[in-house]
Amino acid sequence: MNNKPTTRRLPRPHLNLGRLILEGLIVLLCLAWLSPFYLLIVNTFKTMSQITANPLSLPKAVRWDAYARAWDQAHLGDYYKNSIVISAVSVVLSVSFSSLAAYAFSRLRFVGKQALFFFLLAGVMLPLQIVLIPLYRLLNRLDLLSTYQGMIALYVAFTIPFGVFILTGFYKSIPVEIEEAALIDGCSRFQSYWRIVLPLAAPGLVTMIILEFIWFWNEYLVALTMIQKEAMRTVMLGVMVMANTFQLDFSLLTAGIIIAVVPPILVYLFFQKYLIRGLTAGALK
Amino acid sequence: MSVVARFRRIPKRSWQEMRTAYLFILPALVLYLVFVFWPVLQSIGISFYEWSGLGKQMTFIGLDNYLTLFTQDAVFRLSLRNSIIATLVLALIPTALGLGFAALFSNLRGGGAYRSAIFLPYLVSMVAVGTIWSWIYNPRIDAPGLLLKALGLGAWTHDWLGEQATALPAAMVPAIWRFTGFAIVIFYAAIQTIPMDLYEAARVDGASGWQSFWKITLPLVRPAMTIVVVWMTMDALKLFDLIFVLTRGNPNHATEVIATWMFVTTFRHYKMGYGAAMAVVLFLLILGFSVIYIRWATRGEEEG
Repeated sequence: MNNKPTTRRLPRPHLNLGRLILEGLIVLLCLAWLSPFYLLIVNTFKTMSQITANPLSLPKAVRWDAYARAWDQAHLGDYYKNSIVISAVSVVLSVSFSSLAAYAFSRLRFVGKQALFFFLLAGVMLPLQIVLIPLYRLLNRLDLLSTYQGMIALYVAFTIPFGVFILTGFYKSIPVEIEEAALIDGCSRFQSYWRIVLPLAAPGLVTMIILEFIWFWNEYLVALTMIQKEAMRTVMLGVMVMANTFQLDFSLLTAGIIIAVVPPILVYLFFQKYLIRGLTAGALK
Repeated sequence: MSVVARFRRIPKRSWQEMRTAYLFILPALVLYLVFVFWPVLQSIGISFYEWSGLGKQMTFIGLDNYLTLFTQDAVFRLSLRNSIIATLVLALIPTALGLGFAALFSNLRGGGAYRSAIFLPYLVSMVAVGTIWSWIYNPRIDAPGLLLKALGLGAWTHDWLGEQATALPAAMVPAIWRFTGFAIVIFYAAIQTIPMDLYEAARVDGASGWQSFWKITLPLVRPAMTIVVVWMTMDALKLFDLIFVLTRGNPNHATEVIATWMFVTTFRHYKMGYGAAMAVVLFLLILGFSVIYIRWATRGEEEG
């Protein structure tokens, strides 16, 4: 596995019965833990009467049409587009702005640095509920309810405290000496940031991009409050709609849920190392 | 030293550095001020008014919203009770499970894969988790009932989400399922940083696995535990998505939590001032719980 320090080498396991039983029990535990996913997947391949007769059974045949029908009937194509646009643009802006600020906090000297840092950091603790009403009113006045711009502005602002906090830590771990030569040669601060520090910070930036993408994709409360037009719904709002409209055919409901939750899982499979590092970065400093 | 004096002592080159720094921070700061800081102040302001949110008419009523919350609103008191129960349950059980699983798995070759299995639900959004479990609990599926029947306990079946007494515990199960994923990732990483030599030395001295868990693992993962508990506490107090899709606070408000009641009052009953007061109470609760726990955890460190 990843992040394996040299001091940690597991002793070679000797085969004995106790150990075998323990490992068997752990495998069973993991399977039980994942059983809701099993229920979801097998029932996408069944008819409603088969599902209600026995939801636990394996399907008689593998038929993929539930996925296609759920995609069409729940307008998941439109919602996917909305979620991708909102998440992608928000990620780019949020990581850019957090990264610029984090560079200043980790490298430059200026009056009010500590106070400003803690002022931004306090945002990590705030529950979204406390900004919901004024922001609803603000977007309403600016005619930005149910728009990409409105959602993106809020999402970017909400993730800045966390982004600045994590990225400042990353930039502090990059040695200052690497930059000094460039600055003596007459590079401006921005050039040095752009050409030297940013490439070195790439792993940290990828981590932030992944964490924020998953957060935006899964976000619900803000979307529920600020999006009222059907055509502008995100995938997570779509999930709630499907829970109501697919009560007569559970194969559509299960297939629709799977389509909605797959992107973060794929991201985890491809970028496992970065995601784990991001989640633990704040906790294990 | 006064601010003016500090600025006077700054040499010219540093002025340039400061200008650069403020330019770097500007976009983040402006967004934060406009969409986070200012709305927080506005919310506090709105909580002193009676306001439907539709028209311009706002009536200043001082602390009346807060008084009504605690003296006349039985649903709010119920939701406060439920939120605190949920917070205690979700700060305790996923933390304990996550730590236990992480300690167990990190001694095994396939530990990373087992960890990934437990972690997987955390990638699924709370809305989807709620939808999945409301389907699992649905009387036409009733997976818990099938399980009980298979174990010969068919008499124990309930309409778990539909009955007043079982609804809240039943609603906690999906949250535990998801939050344990976060806890295990943090604890697994924390345990990886503990040198293996410590455990070997303990074993040579004749310590059992159980003893080395209590004497080595537990004290060394303590900072991670603080983070997990604080994080779980904040997430549990804010809990909204799960309840909103699972039960909508039903039956008869038995699963109502502060965040769902705040949302319904504000955006369905159009009582904005009242909703804002609830949001302020929620914020104070989060602040209070976090401060209490961090104090308690750090005091323990000083003593030990």
